Amino acid sequence: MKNIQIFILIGLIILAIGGYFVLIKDGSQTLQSSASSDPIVPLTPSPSPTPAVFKFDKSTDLKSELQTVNPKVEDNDFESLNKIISAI
Amino acid sequence: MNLKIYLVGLTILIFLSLTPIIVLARVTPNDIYQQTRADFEANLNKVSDPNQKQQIIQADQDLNQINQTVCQRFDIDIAKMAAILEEEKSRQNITSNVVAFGMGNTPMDSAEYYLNYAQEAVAYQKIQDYTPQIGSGNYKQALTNSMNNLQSSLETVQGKILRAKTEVKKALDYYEK
Repeated sequence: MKNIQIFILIGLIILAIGGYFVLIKDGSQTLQSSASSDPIVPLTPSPSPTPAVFKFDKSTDLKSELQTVNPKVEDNDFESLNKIISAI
Repeated sequence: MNLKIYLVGLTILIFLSLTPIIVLARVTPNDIYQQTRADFEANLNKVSDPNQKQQIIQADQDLNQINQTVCQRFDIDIAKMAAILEEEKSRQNITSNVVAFGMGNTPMDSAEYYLNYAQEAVAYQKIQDYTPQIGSGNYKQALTNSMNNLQSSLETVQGKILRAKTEVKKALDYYEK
């Protein structure tokens, strides 16, 4: 009987420690992060563009079409950002 | 004997206690994002020069906008290659739709796999966050780091799309001899 009581006591201690870390410690972190609930700098949502639709038929020269696929990261993509960084 | 039973019971109890704790305490990517934005705003409030503050805000907006703009261009390339493959499949009467690597062994399977891989890379890139870490006070360096990270990531995705293009070309060369 005494052993069962010790067993239950150990179990309750483990649950208490676990509950502390989950409920109280995480709760305080939530309070901290919600201090600025209205973001000063909300990211401007970009409107979702209509996805491009390509339709080819039997007359299409697929190899020529493939040649036009040219993924690039252009320098002028970063032009405005570079200007801002230079000005800071 | 009783001790063994109690130890087993204790072990089970510890396991049952820790499992929900681990699940509840799990940090999600959204948690990390929210904390990053909260830190950014907190550090932004410490910027005394209003012009500089506005420039940092604009740069932060630009980082996200550049990412989305370039990814949208990549989406067009992916869509075109997907349409090319669809048309080629139609011409060759190919109906299989295997994308898992190793499951198929035709040039079409390989092209579809790498195209799918590139498409997922673009989708993943779109949701990445490049909030500048301005906590150190060196705003120029922080913005430059974010910009370099963004450029590097976009170039990696570009590489994956070019690999897909190579595989699509191989498929076209194979089927349209």
